[in-house]
Amino acid sequence: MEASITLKKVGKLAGDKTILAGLSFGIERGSLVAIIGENDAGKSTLLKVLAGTEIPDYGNVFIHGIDSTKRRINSQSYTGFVPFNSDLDPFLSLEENIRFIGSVHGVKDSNITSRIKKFATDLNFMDSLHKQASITSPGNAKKAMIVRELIHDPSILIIDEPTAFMDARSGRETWELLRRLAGEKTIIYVSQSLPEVEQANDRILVMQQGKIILDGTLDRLLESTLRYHQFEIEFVNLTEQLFNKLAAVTTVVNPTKIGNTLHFYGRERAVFFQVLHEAAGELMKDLSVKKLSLRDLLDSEFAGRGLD
Amino acid sequence: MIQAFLLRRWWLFRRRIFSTLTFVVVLPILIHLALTVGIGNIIMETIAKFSYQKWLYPGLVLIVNTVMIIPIIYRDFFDLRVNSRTLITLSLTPLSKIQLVGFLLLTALVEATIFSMVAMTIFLYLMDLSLSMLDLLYILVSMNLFGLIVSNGLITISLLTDRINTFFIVTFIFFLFIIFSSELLFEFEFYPLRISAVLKNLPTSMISNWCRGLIFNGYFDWTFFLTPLGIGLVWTTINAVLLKRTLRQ
Repeated sequence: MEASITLKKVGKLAGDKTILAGLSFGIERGSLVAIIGENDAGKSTLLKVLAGTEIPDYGNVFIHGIDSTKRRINSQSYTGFVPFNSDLDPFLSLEENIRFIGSVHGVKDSNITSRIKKFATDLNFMDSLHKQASITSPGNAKKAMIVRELIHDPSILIIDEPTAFMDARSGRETWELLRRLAGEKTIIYVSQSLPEVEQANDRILVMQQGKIILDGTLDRLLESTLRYHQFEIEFVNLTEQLFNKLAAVTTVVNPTKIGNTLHFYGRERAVFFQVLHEAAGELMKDLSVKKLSLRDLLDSEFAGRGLD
Repeated sequence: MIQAFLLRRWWLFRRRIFSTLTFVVVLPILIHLALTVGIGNIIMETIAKFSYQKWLYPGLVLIVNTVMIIPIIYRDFFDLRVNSRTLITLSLTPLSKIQLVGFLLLTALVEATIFSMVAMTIFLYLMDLSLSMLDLLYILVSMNLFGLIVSNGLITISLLTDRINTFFIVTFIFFLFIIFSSELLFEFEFYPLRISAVLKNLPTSMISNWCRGLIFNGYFDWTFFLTPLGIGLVWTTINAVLLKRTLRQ
């Protein structure tokens, strides 16, 4: 597939600190790409570099083959960028904010009107369009920012936390819209909401300290953990002695004690029975077993040294 | 493209119509009471024997115009950059920085000119002056030329400061400097020779001199017209570069 965005050794520094460490990768046209990772991993900076609000200290970003630093104006007509916090003009209404940016992009008035109506209906905030941006709810402001960036019909949409400040229903409606747009547009987003990323289920980039440490679909990322399970056993009284005894079971991985609950990972369910066998005679209150998710994968323990 | 920026000005004006109109009407009345009435009783004629009230009129209009421009430039280049960050979003549109600065500046001048025209009418009534249409046209042109220089100065301050306190302190100093260094209220003959020799070469002084030269002597001084215009245009370009650097793009 044709590349929408190509990064070649893109780096960004802040003093001595490396924010982006020579990133090189491509994003295919029409794909839905999530960027996740711990705080300060460089996710938002990467979005800003892709959007053109910040220029890299070294390396090149190509938008549809155009160098975004050398031919900024050409490349930016292809992109729309929704930052995390509201960047709407606080003294204009939501609709005026959208109309103004649409006009600056040279979109016809009739097209602006029809697109506002279409997207505002999809995102269910038609009634709030006339409200001044400074007094509207942050969730509606975020929706208006998304519509504003769709108004010139960009082929690439870059969003920092697509459903930030939104209630559950608004979040669902936003994702319905984004999923519908994916394929037609390349959508790159940063999210801390891992269940949302798992549901979107397209390409996921995991960042750590300015580098991409994992890259692939959800299934591929979880491949290494597919046989792992997460176990929790709540005892009536989990003593240190008992904890140490159970933690010593060789097949138990990363055991932790939280109150009277033993939390651990294991490659097979059989591990669970081994632990139960060791704990025979102890009173238990509750048990739970679940397959690993993206959150577990991103757990600092795993990101740092993996399960094995 | 400029229509989008003009329409935005209209939307903004519509949202604060009563406060703006009150400001536009009250400001010239206050300036008249505070300056014209008092100084007019001390100075009757200029050194060249022209009516002081008539000599002062263009200066007062330029002061009002400067006051009108300050909140507009503050809003567009400081508040929208530092607080709401809308300027960053605008910088992502297919506009070059020079276009962005130019359009915002041009529409600020249009807005300030319209408001200043109301002030011009109020001053004419309060000061009981009669000026020809041509004289008023000269004042309008000088107002825009003066606004170009002042706006550029304010844009530079807005782009170089990130704290509101700093912005207002520097703007206040800049405003006082402009008022007393541009021959708006008093003739340079009242100043020490060395100082007036320097101040006469300021672009803002050239504009007030150009305007009064036309009104009182009917003389069009091309140097006093083209020099501030050239400085204003070059300064706009410098501000575009400054915006690019400030936004780190």
